[in-house]
Amino acid sequence: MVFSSYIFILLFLPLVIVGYYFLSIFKNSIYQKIFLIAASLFFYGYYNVKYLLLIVISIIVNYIVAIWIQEKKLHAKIFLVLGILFNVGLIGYFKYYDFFIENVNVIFGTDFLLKNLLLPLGISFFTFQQLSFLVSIYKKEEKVENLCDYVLFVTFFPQLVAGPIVLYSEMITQFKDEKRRVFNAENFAAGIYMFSIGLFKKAVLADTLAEFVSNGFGMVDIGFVAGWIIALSYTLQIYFDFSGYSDMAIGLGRMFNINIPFNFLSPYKAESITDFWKRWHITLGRALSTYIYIPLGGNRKGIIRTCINLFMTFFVSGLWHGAAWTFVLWGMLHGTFRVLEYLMGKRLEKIPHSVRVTMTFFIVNALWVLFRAENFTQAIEVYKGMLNLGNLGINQLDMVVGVSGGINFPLVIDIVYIMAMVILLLIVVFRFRNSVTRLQEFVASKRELLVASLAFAVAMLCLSRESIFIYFNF
Amino acid sequence: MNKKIKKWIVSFVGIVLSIMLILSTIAYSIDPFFQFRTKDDSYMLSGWFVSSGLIKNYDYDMLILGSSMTQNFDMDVIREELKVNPLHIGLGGINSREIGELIGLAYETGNAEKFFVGVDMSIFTTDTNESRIPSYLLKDDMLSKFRYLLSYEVWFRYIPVDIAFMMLDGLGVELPIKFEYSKSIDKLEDWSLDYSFGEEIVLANYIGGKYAVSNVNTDDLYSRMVKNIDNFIANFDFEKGEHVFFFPPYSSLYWCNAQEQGYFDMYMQAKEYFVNNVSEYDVKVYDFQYAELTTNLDNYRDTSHYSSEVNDWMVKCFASQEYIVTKENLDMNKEILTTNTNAFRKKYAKLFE
Repeated sequence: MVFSSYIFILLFLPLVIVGYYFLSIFKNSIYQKIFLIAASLFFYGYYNVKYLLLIVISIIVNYIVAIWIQEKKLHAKIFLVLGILFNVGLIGYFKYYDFFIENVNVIFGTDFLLKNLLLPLGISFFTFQQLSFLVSIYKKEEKVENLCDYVLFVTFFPQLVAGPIVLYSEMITQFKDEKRRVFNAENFAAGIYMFSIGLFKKAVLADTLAEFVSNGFGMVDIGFVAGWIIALSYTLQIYFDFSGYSDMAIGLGRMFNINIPFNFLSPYKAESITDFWKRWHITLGRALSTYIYIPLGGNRKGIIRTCINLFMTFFVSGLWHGAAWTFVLWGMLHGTFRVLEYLMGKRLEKIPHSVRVTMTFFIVNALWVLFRAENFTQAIEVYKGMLNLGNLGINQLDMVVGVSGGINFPLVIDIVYIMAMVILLLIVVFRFRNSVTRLQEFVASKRELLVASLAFAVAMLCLSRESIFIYFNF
Repeated sequence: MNKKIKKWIVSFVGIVLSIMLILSTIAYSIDPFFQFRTKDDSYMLSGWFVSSGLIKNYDYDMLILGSSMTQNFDMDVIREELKVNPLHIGLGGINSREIGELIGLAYETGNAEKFFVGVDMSIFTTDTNESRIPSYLLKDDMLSKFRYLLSYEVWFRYIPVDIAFMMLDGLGVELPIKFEYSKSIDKLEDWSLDYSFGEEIVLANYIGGKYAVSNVNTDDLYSRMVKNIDNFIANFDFEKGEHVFFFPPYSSLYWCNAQEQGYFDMYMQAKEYFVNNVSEYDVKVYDFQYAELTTNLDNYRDTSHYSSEVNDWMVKCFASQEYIVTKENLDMNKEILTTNTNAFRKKYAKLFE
């Protein structure tokens, strides 16, 4: 099930909220937890029941391994390795098997058949979350709690399929907090506010930009203006799509009195790639730093090892995002810029802030092309367009807008529409307060009421468009 | 404090519901996709969105359904020649599933007594069978009605355009005939004004690869077509009225191209399979594909799409019941089509060198 759907907003969510708070009449919180787990599993298996089996197996195996790590202290390391192998094997099989076989076939001229496996929803997220749990048990930072709490930690539907990637420690204390079991109007109102903003970002902005992007990435002989508009459209789309999803997740968490960590902090205002990764998909950055960068040695083993560690972390990040060389190269290029910034150190600070922000944005924007392209040929077409000073015409924007909703608008309208939209949204991402700040400063005022209700109502009108969250694929 | 916040939550729900109610009422009164009533010459019409509404609410007794080959039928000619009250739904690239959905809806409403269905060969060769008609326009339940009234297409696409039309109309602005066509139910999806016709254009398009026949995957083609034909026929309930199928008159260049790509014979076999199968029912099948006019490229804009004069001629054939194909004359028709194609190939030999 997706958040931005009628079934979720009009049926699933109201029923789960009512059911959850009704069960708070019982002294024992187990009923509420079981109810929430059942609802989360229904949410997860709504489109494909087969996924349920996979997530249930994953949870049970990880839970047992965690107990072994905790109790059989002498062999804890062995069990940790087994747990890691299980999780990496699971994600490797479903996400990377075909990618591996494709490359084997190309390199060795073999003809092994691909499995064309359907990527289970959110596998990268719940696998990563459980891996981090095993490591924290091994390090004795955490203790294995009862099965119910653990299952809820993994399956809690607001963060199940596309993050934010939460830590056991930050969730379990909240699940155990008795005060959070009962309805809290303040949290609920803040949750509604955040959910409405996220829904607007996704259903209105990202899904409109998605039409431009889909048309643009299929074009050839792209001109300069169209090339930039296509690239910028995707840069904006992926931001509004993923941050919209995260906002909705945070908002939903609040409705259940659970604080889910923030995932975005105005990433396009970043003044370096290093800064960008402190603002974009923050919980992934945190996890990669804790479980890849630091175990590799972090910055403790000299300049060269630090550079290698940084680069490797971004290499893994690229691969985590998708089983394709475009993702790997995207990660490697981010890693390269990160290393360069590390080597330049404080010298970068001599460059004026506005120049640094602009440069960072151009780099991020250019690299998103690689991230979006289905293959290198497609990416090269867009890059060629962005450099095509021989064609400065704007007529191609008509093709980027396409025949939207069965109407082929006149050229002038299409050009004004797409240019105005992209420019306006660039102003929004550079000048406006982000939703985190808005949530932190939230008061139940008339202005916020108007913002939330209008955003929600307009977004509801856009739900008839079929769409999918970009990060569901990762 | 708590009371104030609770009031905020209640107000949020109240405002959202009020907005929805107001928008629903406006959308209901305009009804751009004709889900409650039809209104001619008023709104911009897209076949994908208004077809179901027209089938449900328009006053007609004959339904013409098909692809771009049926889009240019002149309803006045049909009224005059066939003495019927027609509704024509022509959707470019319509597939078997979409035909099934629309014909099923027509059976449910029971308005039509006659069903004329264009049989494009591409319906049988394609593997994609997903419907492009929004599901909320096909269903009749309350939820679907609300989805329609509060849909993106209604509020972000058609109502703004319709309001612009109304304002321009109010200001006395005379729009080009193309825009008038786009508002007419009789002219729904008519593309005759959008293209030029003639031998030179067809040949230029063919040589340039523009509007040429799309490449057909010939692997396992015949068995695929047989399966698709079975599915297509299963869409119909021949008890519900008089059913007429027609194979549109593609140009001889289309058939030469089919020979070039190696699927000419498979198409002929598929056509035979279709005719043999529907002959079990009380239906008529017209085959215009061997007609003399197919050899004259002046009638076409590309290899398959013909001018509206050809549509008029087809209607006259319906009236005079010429070009009916049966099990008995199938071979003869095929022979004529092959002869026409070979003669055309000789005439335009340079094209195929």
